[in-house]
Amino acid sequence: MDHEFFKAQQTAALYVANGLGEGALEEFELHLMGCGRCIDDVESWRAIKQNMPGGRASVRLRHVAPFMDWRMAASLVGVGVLGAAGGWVGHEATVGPDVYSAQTVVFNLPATTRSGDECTVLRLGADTRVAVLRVPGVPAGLVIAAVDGEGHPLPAGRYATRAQPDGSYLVRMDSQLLVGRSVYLQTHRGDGAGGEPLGCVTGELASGSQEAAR
Amino acid sequence: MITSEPPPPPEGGEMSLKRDDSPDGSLVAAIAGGTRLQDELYVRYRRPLLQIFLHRRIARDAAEDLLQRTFLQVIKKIRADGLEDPTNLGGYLYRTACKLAIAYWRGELSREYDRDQESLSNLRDEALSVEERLDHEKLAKCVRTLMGQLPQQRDREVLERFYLREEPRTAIRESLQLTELQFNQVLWRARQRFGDILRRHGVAGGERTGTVQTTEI
Repeated sequence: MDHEFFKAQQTAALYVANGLGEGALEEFELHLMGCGRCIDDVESWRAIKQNMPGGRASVRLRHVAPFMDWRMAASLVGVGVLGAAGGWVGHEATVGPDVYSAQTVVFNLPATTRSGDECTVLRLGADTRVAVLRVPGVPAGLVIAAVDGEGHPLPAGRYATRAQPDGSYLVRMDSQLLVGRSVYLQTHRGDGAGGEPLGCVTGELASGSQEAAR
Repeated sequence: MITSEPPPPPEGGEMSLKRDDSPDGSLVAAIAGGTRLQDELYVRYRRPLLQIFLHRRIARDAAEDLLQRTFLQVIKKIRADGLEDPTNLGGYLYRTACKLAIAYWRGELSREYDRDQESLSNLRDEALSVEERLDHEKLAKCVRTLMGQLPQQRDREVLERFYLREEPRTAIRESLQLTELQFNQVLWRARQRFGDILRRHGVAGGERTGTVQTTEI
C-alpha cells in the first residue's frame, strides 16, 4: 500500500483510534518510519485524542521510574469481594453468566513488584466461560486495559473493567481469550496514554477439566 | 544523542548522506564510520519510533528509555556486523522497537544499560513531536479551539465517539448514517482545521491545503 492509499483511508486517524487490524497496523507502522506527513498526522490525532474536552488527559500520573521492579504475585486465591454484578464499563462489556454461575471463576491478583517471570497461570474449568480478576491498588485516575503479547489492545467486546469503591479494579474476561495465550494488564489514563504495566496472566484448563472435556 | 564510542572516521572525513541513492544506506555507512551524521538517525527516526511505543500504551518516560535502547542496539549491530540490507534501516529499527516493546511489557528488560547522558533538550526541533514542541496547556487549547470550530454537531460527535469513547467506526457510521467516504471527510476536515490551528501557534502540523472545505455532506 502506498502513501496515497493511507491518506485516502485516513489511516493515521484509524491508527490512533486503535482501528487497524494486525496486518494493516504493521504495514502502516513500517510506512510511518519513512513518511513525515504521516507522522505529522499521527501526532496531531494523538494530540486531539489526548486533549479532547471531557477526556482524562488532565489527570496527573503517579510518577513511576522506568523499569522499576515489580512482580505480579503468583499467589491466586478465590475471593468473594465482588459487588453488584452490574456497572461494568468500557470495552463493550462481555456478555456472559453472572458471578454466581459455575461458569464464572474469580481470582485475586495482588500486584506487588515487577520481574521477568512468566505469566501467572489461571486454572480454568472446562465449562468456564468468564474469568473475573480483582486487581487492587490501581492509582486514582487510572483505568485498566488488556493488551496482547504484541502490545496491541484486545478487541472490544472481549473484556470489561469496573472500578470498585476500595480502589481495586475488576476485570471480566472471556475465558477463551485467556486459554493458551498471554494477556497483559496495564493502567492508562483513560485516553490510552500513560500508565504502567501490572502483569501478565494466561489461562490453562485444569487437568481434571481437560479429561472431562474429552 | 547516541552512546558508545564510535570507531575513528574513515579517510576523507564526513560522509555525505547523498553519497548513494539510498538515504538509509548512506546513514548506515555514516553510523558504521562514526561520523557526526549518525545524529541524523535520531532526527529521522525518533518521532515515528516514539509513536510506535505510545501506540503500545507505553508511558512517555518509558518510551524515551526504549527509544534510547532501540538506537543503541541498532548502532551496536551496525558497527559490529553491519546490516544485511542497509537500505532497510527503518525496517530494522521498527523490528527492534517492536521487540523491545514486547520485552518491556513482559518485564524482561534489565534496568541498567549504557544510557545516553545527553538530555532531550539537546534534540533538534525536527526530532521533537508536536506534543514536545507545544506545552500541554497550549495543546489542550488548540483542541478546544478545534472542537469549537467544527461546523456541525455531528462532526464533534464523530470525534468524541471515535477518540473519547473508542467506539468502532462502523458503529458510528451506522448510527449517524454516514458512508465510509463521508466519515473519512469528517476526519479529513478536522485534521485540516487542526493543522491550521497548530500553524497559528508556530507548529507545522501537516501539509497546508488552503481553505478547509466546509461543505455539508
